[in-house]
Amino acid sequence: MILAEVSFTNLARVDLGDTDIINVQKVSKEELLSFYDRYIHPSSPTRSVLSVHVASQIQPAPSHFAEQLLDGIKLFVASEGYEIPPLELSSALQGELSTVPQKLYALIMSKGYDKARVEVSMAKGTEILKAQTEMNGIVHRVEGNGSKGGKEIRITDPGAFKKTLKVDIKPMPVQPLETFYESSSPKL
Amino acid sequence: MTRIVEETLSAKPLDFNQVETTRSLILPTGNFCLYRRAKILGTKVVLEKTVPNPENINSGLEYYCQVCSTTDAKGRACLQLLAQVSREKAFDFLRTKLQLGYLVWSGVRDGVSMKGYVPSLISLRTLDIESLYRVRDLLKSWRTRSNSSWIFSGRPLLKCPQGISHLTSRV
Repeated sequence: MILAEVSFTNLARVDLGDTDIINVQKVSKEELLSFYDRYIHPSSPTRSVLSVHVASQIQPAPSHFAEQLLDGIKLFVASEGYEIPPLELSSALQGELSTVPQKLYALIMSKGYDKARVEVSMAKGTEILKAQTEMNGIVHRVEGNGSKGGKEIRITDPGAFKKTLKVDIKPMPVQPLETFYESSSPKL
Repeated sequence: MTRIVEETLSAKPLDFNQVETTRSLILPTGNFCLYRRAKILGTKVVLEKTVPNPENINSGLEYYCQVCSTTDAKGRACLQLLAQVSREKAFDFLRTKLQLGYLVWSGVRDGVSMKGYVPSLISLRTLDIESLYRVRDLLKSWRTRSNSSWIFSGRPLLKCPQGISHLTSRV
């Protein structure tokens, strides 16, 4: 039997696509920021977060940051469309980390590429390099229990943890199921 | 045969209140729940219950922010908009700049009756607690970002879903 106008209070409604389009257009910037502050921002006391980590049994061999960085630069240069042999890149970028951007710029320019294009690429690359060096040079910070975001719960037994959670209300039909009818022109 | 079974058991349909349905669990507000499943391969969340395989090198991290009920029209609209606005920024920060994983995704996660926002990562490197802090940094950074740096396409949100699969993916 094909049911028409099937609507549950907590489940899919066939007309949600249209209503969502109307609602999205009504959202103001203030409303979106307020929503973000309430549910997403890490310092919000009213948000609910579950973080799941799954780690491989294989521990990757610790690689030197400089080697990782060189591999990243090779990929970046290739993705930006510059044809420079990897070996040439490796030999040209030896030395201090702080001088890498200048060396890379000089190397690309020596290949005759357009200056404006190279400068755009270098600005992008410098930003990536900054993020990478900050991440690798950072000392593990202590966050969690003391942070403004609330108490941290470490789950060791998912089953036991689930039992502590409140269950959402049961979906109910908006009208008795007996009132649904078989449609002569099904929508779905 | 069917008739004999029906007559013998005298079966009748259950009342709707007696029907067991899948329901969402509501996460505690104001707390941060961390489930670290270290040294075990396969994930129910990202890899969908793969058999633990000691040769699998992938690691995963998911950061689920439970937001609102599926019946909350305003919340649903805000969530869809936020997910669309932030999609490119999340990818740019986690994938392009930090290169935390080879697969980076962020968007709306649908539960049975609750919806949420989730950035998730799959990586060949170890995703330690530091990676989690980077995801938090991403979420924090949106508040301070200038208006001009938010460029996104609202077209997918204004397109009426066609077909049952698109329709159900929006709700």
